[in-house]
Amino acid sequence: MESRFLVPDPTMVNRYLAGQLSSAEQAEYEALLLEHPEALRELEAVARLKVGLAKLREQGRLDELIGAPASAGRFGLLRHPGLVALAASLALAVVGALFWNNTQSRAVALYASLNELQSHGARSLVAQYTLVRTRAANPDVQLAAPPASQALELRILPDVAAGSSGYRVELYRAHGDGSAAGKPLAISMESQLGADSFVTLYANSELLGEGSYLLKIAPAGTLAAGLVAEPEDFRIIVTKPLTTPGSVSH
Amino acid sequence: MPDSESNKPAQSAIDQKSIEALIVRDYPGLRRLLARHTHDQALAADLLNDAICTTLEKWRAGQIAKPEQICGYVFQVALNLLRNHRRSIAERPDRRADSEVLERTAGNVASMDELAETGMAQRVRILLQGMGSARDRTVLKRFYLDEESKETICSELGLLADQFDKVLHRARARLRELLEASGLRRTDLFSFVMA
Repeated sequence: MESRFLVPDPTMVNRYLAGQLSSAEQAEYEALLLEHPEALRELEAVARLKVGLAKLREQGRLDELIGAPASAGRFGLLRHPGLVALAASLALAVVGALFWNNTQSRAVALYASLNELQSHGARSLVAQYTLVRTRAANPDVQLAAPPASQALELRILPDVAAGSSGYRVELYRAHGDGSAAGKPLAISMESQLGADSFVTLYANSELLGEGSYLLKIAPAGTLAAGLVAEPEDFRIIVTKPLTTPGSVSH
Repeated sequence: MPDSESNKPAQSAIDQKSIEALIVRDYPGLRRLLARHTHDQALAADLLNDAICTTLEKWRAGQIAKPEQICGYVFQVALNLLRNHRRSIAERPDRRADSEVLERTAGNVASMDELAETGMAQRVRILLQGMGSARDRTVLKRFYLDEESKETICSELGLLADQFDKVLHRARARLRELLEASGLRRTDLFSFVMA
């Protein structure tokens, strides 16, 4: 395999950083580091990969990103041929379903402005929803399914202050128990707080068909002392559509 | 004037401060990795400081031929010092901190380092999201984070060696693109010092 990297063995750099090279391999690699300062850039790149992975694990986000069950690989499931065959059959069924629902599986954007949303296909603003957390068992907002391809305004009041990096907002379908189901339907990475103390985002109404949803908002960066804030959850229930579309404010 | 003569003022400008500044700017990954491996910010700083001092002595003694080799030498020495430290900890069980202390220590990082790590996590998240399969992402996680061997990973995930290498090659290429887009740069110590 042709490689544009100075170190053809793709495992060597990581094994060097992990202290897993033999003495001869270490001497060889260190000689290369001195002869080719370019190799130091790759060393730095792998170091950043290792640190980034560790950080994602600390943030509790790694398993979701990896997308593999916690028991896969390390605890013997894949050592059983019968289970491997069963897993393969299930995987084919899942792949088929995902292929059929391909457009549903990719997260779309939540937009910071109405103009931006409208440039991506939504038409007029038909509804504005304000999400404020309550202690009650009732959902934070209940609304009738809006007509398709229109713009929705979501005004979210977060409890936790964020720094200059703003907020990360994710919208999920929700299970019956209110927990998030699968991957986010929509994401906004660094939403800023407005002068009114709300985070205001715009979404295409196609996102919110009848059903239960969970909107999660958390500071995009870290808090003081390196802490990562837990996301705040807002529950949304979407009921049958109104027979007559109209502007609704909750 | 011969080149070696004209370079002397620039060479003498290479000092501990300039090397430290260059490492902070261009090698945050290696710095943070040292800190994580030692579970001790102060110890990591000491290791790096010792490595820089050792390197400067060699540079001034003419044992390092080119300034562009200096940072590579620094990290070679630092990583060797780290390996020695780990060996001494392994041989002295009474000197091992318990896991709760390690967790607390790992959490006590300066805010700038925390931001640097958060930035690295974001780049890696983008890398992972761009990868085609959970299997490939698992390979990356088990090899680079859990530091498992290629043989173990291939055996448990049913991969051929060549397939494993391809996953790593693709990830390395994509990672370099991401990092270069965000400022992973070619280091020119003279230019850095003289800027």
